[in-house]
This record gives sequence, structure tokens and C-alpha cells, in this order.
Amino acid sequence: MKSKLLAAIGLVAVTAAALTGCSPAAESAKKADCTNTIVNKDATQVSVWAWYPAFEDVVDLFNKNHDDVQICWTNAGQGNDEYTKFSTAIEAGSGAPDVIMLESEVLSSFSIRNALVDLTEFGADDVKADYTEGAWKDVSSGEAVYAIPVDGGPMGMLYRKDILDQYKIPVPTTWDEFAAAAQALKDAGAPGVLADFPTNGRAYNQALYAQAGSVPFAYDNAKPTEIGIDVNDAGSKKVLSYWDDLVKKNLVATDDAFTADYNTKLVDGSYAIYVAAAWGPGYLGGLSDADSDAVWQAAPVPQWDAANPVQINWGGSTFAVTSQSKNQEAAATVAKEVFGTEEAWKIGIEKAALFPLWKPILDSDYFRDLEYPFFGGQQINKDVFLAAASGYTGFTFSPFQNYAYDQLTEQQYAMVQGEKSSDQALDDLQASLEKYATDQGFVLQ
Amino acid sequence: MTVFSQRDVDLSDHHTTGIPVHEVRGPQRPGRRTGRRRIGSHVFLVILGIYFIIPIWWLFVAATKSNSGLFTSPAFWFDGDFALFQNIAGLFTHEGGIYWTWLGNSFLYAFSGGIGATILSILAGYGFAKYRFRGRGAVFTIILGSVMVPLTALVIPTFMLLSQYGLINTAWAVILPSLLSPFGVYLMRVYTQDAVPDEMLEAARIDGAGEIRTFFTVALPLLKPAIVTVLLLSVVGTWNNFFLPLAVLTDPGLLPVTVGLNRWTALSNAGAGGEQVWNLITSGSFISVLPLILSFLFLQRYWQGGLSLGSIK
Repeated sequence: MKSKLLAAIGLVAVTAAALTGCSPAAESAKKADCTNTIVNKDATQVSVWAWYPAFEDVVDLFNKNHDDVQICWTNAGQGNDEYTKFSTAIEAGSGAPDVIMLESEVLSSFSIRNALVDLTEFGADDVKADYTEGAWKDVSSGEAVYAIPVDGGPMGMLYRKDILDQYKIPVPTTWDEFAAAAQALKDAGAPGVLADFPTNGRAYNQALYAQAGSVPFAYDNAKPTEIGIDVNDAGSKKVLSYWDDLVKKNLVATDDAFTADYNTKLVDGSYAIYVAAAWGPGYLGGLSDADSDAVWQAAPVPQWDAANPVQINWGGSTFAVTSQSKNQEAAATVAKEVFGTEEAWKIGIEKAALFPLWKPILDSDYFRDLEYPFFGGQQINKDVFLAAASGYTGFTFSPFQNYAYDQLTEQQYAMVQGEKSSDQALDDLQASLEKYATDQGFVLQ
Repeated sequence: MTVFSQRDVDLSDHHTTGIPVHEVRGPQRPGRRTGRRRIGSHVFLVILGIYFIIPIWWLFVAATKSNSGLFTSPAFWFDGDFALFQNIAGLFTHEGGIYWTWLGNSFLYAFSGGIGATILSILAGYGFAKYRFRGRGAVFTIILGSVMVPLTALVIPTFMLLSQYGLINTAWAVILPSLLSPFGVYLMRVYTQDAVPDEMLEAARIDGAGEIRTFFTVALPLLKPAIVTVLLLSVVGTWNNFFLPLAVLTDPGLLPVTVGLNRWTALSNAGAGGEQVWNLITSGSFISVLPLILSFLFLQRYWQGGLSLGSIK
């Protein structure tokens, strides 16, 4: 009995040693290779973090077509997961990849920490002509260019044609018509509401303000300690009081976005309209068989002034080169060229439902005439998103964008809870951002 | 995961309240009073049981639904279309079946970390309990104090340390920190003090056994219940650890199942370029909790042992 137990303990110890012993060996082998296969083993390897699952095919395509440089791809998580890792790597001084996928809204937050390389030194201007003005502004700060645009989120309006038809509501083209439609839907006794106003919409909320002329931040990375903050301008106040009014009349919902509950309501008809970015259809498409009666259509985003339409953007990703990269030249080549072919973009569009910012594909007949089965064959790019993309003029994000979004969410939440007026919410937001910026050592312009 | 630890508290309560009631059943008079008390406590237990089982029921039901079924059918009942097997098949094909790599990694980390932590706890606990040496009190106080520091709070310092030695993004980065279990050391010391009488060790020494032989042949068999308990606690602790692997691992092929599923969730929630695999996430979560549920069912008495070990002493 005793000896048996002894043997068992010994076995356990040996197993533990074997387990711990073998795993690091297996690991070091793994570290050398990548999620993808390297085609040309002798070429310079550039490590890339990107989260789109369909990126694998794009990487294979790039590696097949390049003799001098090869991509070694790792999916280090989406959005904030990846940013946290990148931040830790910046603090630790090592561990960052050569090229990293970042959303355009966080570029300033990383460039201010000297984590990104100014790509103008590596020929970024050569590809400038391939992108729209707005897209290029999103990746620039003053003279510097911190990333190459990949995809964007020009905004449109996705609506349930079956619901609007059932209650005989015309498709709104202005925000006034939108409010009237919300009222009409409620008066007709529909079970759902016209739309949702998520207080945690972050970039979505900010885009709605921008449509009414809000320019919340002025920032140039060349003068990293100076910032202009203007979040309580007349445009923002007009937009927020508009939504406050709809919320008070119970004409729109105030569910948080990006939750399972929200997903359910997007597909089950609780909202008749989803004011969305161009990637929204891809998002909905993942749940397309949820409601077989649903008839989705896309239309341009409602306007404040139909005579002078303003196009807005929600989200978008880029490739940036990190300052930890040992071979920045090769890294810049990857950033510039990985999504620089029609073939690569066909993968991005068809497999990942991305909206390209690369002009040659934007201007192609293929993209313009593409029919989307989710919308019953509607050519949504021609009808809606191409105009939205070309009309977008760009945006300047703050170097503490996450904090700004969190504060915005807090203030909007207080407003929908009835704790303060919409004007008060934005004034408080202005005060809190100014205080934060000053505390962080910025000089207010 | 806390569901399980709370649930075993609940079941052990059932035993501690249940057993004395059976014992005092003999005499008539108190019977009536205890009977009423029993109904009250049973109702309470049923409520607790429902409360703790609801999330597991939800998870099971959700694991049987297709992607869109998850969003259109009632939350606590089955969808018309029973998709559990399609989902499991999906786990084998999605991203080359990486889910099973994650599950394997979870086993590797949990068992190597758990077994290593147990061995260290036995050795340290036995040492503290049975040997007198300079600084024993001080060292033990430090260890006891570190029970209060959650592993999560140590992640950033751990990251910096591992980064200096180039261990970031390796299996070691998860296993090495998991080897330390202050609570395990404490448990082993307390148990050793009572379960292994000094007289017995002295008898062994007088009979000519060396310290090592005394430890292996005399002390160790007596410690078996505590060993299994510490092993269970540390294996489950490592299995459920989320933040450490999240911070130190990047390579998808090294992730444990907790972090891997979280990554799928982030991708499914992401608008652009993501793909929605909610059905795989729910099925994957369900499969990943099965080992813990099974270990709980089969090793129940050791779980209870662990809880009372900490409480009486």
C-alpha cells in the first residue's frame, strides 16, 4: 500500500517534470514559425498582428508574390485585447511585432508614446494617391503619417423594409423625417421602436455629432503637448438634444450596443432602422438566417440639411509600423502593399465583409456593382456607401480617445437616466476632458 | 467559474445540515421542531440550487443552438433545431480545430501547474510543520500574508520579470507563476501538524529511517487526503486562471481555452472583418466546463475535505 502510493507520487513527479520539460521545447519551435506558412524561407520576415480571420488568405497571397519580404502573421486578439498587449510590450521595451493592425482612432494614443514610426520616411506619400482624402487624414497627424489605411466604415442607414412598409412609413432621408417616422411607428402601435440610441456607442455617437459640424479635438503629434478640446459646440448640442427628445418620448430605445441583447434586437425586428457603418451588413449577415421574414435594405444616412449632405465614418482599421521593429523598411513595405492588390481586396470584401479604402478597388466596376444577397441583391455600394466614403473628409482623434469615449458614455448615460439635460451633459463632458488633459500635462489651445 | 465553488459550498451545507438531523431523529420531541426546520432549510436549498443551476442550464441549452437560433429562440429552452453535434463538428473545423489545441493547453497548464504547486506545497507545508528552524515564523507569516494578494494583482510585475528572461509568449509564462500556491502551503502545514504525530516521526527515526525515508513512507501516506485536496484546488485554480495567460500569451496556438474563447467572443462582437461564431463559443464553453463538473462529481468528498480543512483548524 505504502509502496504503491510512493510509486504513484513518483509517477506524478515524473509526469510533471515531463510535462513542464517538454512544453517549452515545443514552444520555442512554435515561436519560430507563424500562423501562416512562409513561402520564401530566405526572405526577410516581418511579424504582423492582425485580427481578421480572413487575413490568412491575404497573407498567403502576399507571401506568394514577394521574394524579398515575407509576412509572419499572429492573431493577437481583436481591438482592446491587442492594444493592451501592445501597451505592455511598449512598457516592457520588447515584444511588439513589426507591423500592427490598429483602428484609426487609437493611432494618436500610440504615436504620442513614440510607439509608431512616421511612415513618410518610408515612402508613405507614394501611396497617398491610392486613398481618399478623408481616409488619409485619419492616419495623419500634421505632416506625419502613422499608418496605412485598410478598411473604413462610411455610414449609411440599414432598414427593415418589411416593417416600414407594414406601417406605411416612408424611408427617412433627413433627421426631421427620422423623428417623424419614429413617432408614426409608435402611433401605429408597432411592437418595436424605430432605432436605438446606445449611450456606449463611442465612435458611433461621435460620428453623429461630427455630422452636425462638431470637431471635438485639434491635435498635431508634432506638438504633442498641445490639444484643443471642443465637445460642447452648437452642433453636438443640437444632435444630443435631438436624441434626448426621442428618448424622452420613448420613440427610440437606449440599449447598450455590442451586447448579446443588442444583437438579438438587431435581428428580431425590435429596431426597424440600424444606422450603421459599411461593415454593419457583414455583422448582420452573420445572423442572416435569424428571421426569414426580414427584408433588409440600405439607404443613405439621414441628413440635417438635405441640400448639403455631410458624410460620416464609424470605425476603420490601419496597419502601422512599430518603433520596436528591427527592419522598418521591410515593415513599411508590408504595411503599404499587403492590401494593395485587387486580389487581396476581393478576399477582404467577400470573406471579411470589409469596406476598402484603397481607391483602385473602390473605383472598380466590380465593387460598385457588387450585389449583396443579404439585401435581396441590392447594390449597396453604388446606392449608399461609395458616396458616403468619397464624401468623408476625415477626423482628428485625441491622444486619449478611450478616456474621451468613456466620459462621453458616462455623460450620455446620465442624460438618458434623466439626471441632466443634454446641454449640461456636454458641458460637463467638456469640463472633465479639459481637467483630464491639464492633469496629464497638456496645454489647452 | 465561481458558480462551481459556490455550488460546492452549497452541497457541503446540505451535508452538514442534513447529517445531524438524521442523528437526532430518534427522540420524539425534538422531531417536530427539526422537521419544520428541515422544510425551511430545504426550501432555501432548492432556491439556492435553482439559482446556481440556472446558468449551467442556460449554457447547456445554448450549446445546442445554431448561431442564429441563439438570438431568436427563448433563452432557457431549446430551439427547434438541435445543433449540438453540428457545433461540435464546427469546433473541429473552425480555424483548423484550434479549439482542441486550446483545451489541450488548458490541461497541460492546469496539470503541470497544479501538480507542481502540490509538490511544492507538500514539501513546504511539511517543512514548516515538522522542522524548527530560524525564521520559520517570519517566513510562514509572509506566505500566509501572500494568500491575501490575488494572483491578478501580480500579473504586471510577473510580466516584467518574465519579459526580462525572455519567457513571454511561452508555456513557462503560465506554468511558473502557477507553481506558487500560498494557500496550498498553509493547508498542508495545518494538516500535517495534526495528521502526522511527532511521536510517529520520532519512532521512525529511532528505527533508523533517514529523514527522506521517514517523509516518504511515514508522513506522505497520512497526508493523502490533503494532497488530493490541494491538487484539486490548484488544478482548478490554474484551469480557471484567465488574466495571466491573457497578458503573457500572444500565439493563438498556446492559449488556454478560457482566453481562446474570449478571443472568439471579441471577434464575434467586432463589427468589421469579424465572423460570428456564437454557437461555437457556447458549445466550446460547455465542453470546457465538463471536466470540472466531472471531477467535482467523482471527487466530491475531497472538495468538502478542502473546505473544512481550511475552516476548523
